[in-house]
Amino acid sequence: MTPAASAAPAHGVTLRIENVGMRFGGLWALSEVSFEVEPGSVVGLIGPNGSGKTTLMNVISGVYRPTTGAVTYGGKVIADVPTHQVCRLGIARTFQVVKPFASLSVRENVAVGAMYGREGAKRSTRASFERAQELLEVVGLADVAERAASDLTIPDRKRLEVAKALALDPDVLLLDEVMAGLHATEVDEALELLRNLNARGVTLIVVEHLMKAIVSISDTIVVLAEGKKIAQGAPSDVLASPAVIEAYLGSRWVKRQQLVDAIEAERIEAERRKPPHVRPPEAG
Amino acid sequence: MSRSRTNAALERIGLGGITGNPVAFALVLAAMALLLAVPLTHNGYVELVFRNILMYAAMAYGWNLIGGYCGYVSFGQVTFFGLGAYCAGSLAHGGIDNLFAYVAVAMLVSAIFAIVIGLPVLRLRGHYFAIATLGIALAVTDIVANLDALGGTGGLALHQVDEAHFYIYYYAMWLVALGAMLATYFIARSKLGYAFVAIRENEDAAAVLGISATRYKIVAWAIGAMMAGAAGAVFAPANGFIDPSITFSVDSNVFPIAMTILGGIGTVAGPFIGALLLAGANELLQRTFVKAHTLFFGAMIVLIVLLLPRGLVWLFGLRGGARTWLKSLSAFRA
Repeated sequence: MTPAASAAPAHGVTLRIENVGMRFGGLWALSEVSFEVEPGSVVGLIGPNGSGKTTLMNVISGVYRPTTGAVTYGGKVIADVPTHQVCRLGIARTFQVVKPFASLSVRENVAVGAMYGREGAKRSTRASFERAQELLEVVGLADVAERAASDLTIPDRKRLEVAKALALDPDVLLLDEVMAGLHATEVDEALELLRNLNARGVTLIVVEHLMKAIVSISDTIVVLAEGKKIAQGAPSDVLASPAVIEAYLGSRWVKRQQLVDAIEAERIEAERRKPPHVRPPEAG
Repeated sequence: MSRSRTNAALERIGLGGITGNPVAFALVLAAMALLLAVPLTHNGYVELVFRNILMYAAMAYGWNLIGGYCGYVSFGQVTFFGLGAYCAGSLAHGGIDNLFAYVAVAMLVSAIFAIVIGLPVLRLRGHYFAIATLGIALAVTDIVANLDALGGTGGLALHQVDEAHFYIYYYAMWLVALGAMLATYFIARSKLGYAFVAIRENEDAAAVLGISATRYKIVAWAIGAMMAGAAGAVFAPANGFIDPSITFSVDSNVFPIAMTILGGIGTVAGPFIGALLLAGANELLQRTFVKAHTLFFGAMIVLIVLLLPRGLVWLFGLRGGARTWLKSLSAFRA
């Protein structure tokens, strides 16, 4: 695929996550999470295992109704929209646990999205298949278009998930760990693909464990820990934040970091007080 | 993992996509053309046997849409067949004697009843749906048996054309079966077919792609009901008499399901092949083994299910011969 020459105008409107809380039995998987996703931006969603990332993705895509708060898009509360109509709003998602239609071919899987997604009503069956083929070329699955979806390898199934979501013609695309299990060059390809999508005006919300990937692509990073938002901001600021280090590496690490910093400061201070170093005469 | 992947891949080769194997479908169309000749050379018993095959084929196609394509096993298909028959019966008692009117009214009534029943019932999944449809089938049978206007358990007699013109009923049933078959073919290839299969494969994933599962299940259920209703509307005058035990019989409920599964579930050729085989074999066995025919009939069904779990249609796509077949068999075992 060719990289977009210039950034297209962003589609859609601001997605608002307002005070979202989600309780499963006695456990609050999410509590008081609020942030906004501007059209055309790339928001990275990170956090340790079990911090509520996938739960939040499920709330945003309307799979779960939040216990408190709401996710709104264009003035519509997503929880009030039936699941099959969320894609008509312009929101599409991939699943962390991929869900291909096993008995259909790869192309047919994508075509189903093109038939019933946002623009589906305007597409004939044939046009849907043509659109599916285009998208398979975009994600790099054109060679296996005729294969049964259940025959694909795990990385290819992830690509298929992305193609299915793209077939819905979304303004906002939620990507749940689409790079997990990819090797280094494949991650680069995936990042290239996401950048191209974003350049065409698609807003991205990306959940990923691969820190390097998420830092390189996101405009904003939101960090969840134990269901709470603990940081939000530009990637470099967020990763330097003590709260984030603590969430990932534990409080001992923060203390140790503070100790290291103090020793380092002392060393620099001592260095400064020392008389200028006199170099010994060179031998030979 | 690798086993289930091999399994799915083999299934796909054998079944040839959403309409099923094209060779099998071509053969079925050729068989339908041959069946046009039956009343020219035979009448009476042979014509009756083949008319029954066509009737069961139409019902099997109706079941195949919801059971095969959507993956929702229904035990209520006979309800629509019976409704169709009673539509014809009621019209006949009202003094109307027109086969086209019977079929049109039966299809309309069946579709409306399917939608009304489907709205609550098709929100159920899996076994719950199957049980609910069985309940409806039993309830409707009892309601009809207690309605004096429909003749109660005594049934209704219908005016028939004279015996020299009995072929009219045969050709009417042939048209109903052909209509059901072609409708299935074109629906499967259309957007509708893909919605049905998406629902069968994963209802939640289908919803995320914009498919309202309840809506498309009702569409499949209602179209299937129209096929069964049309078959019932031709059966009633052809048989000359209907009562609850004939029109809502257990055989008429279970046969179309068995035929679809043995022929090839979720394919266009499968229901016809199954109907031809099962109804044909049943007739032959009954004549050969007057007392023990059900034993052989049952053994035949068990053998087919064991050796060809995806139905006879599978044979048409089995490339690689016995090895592929054996490999695929092991894929079906747990």
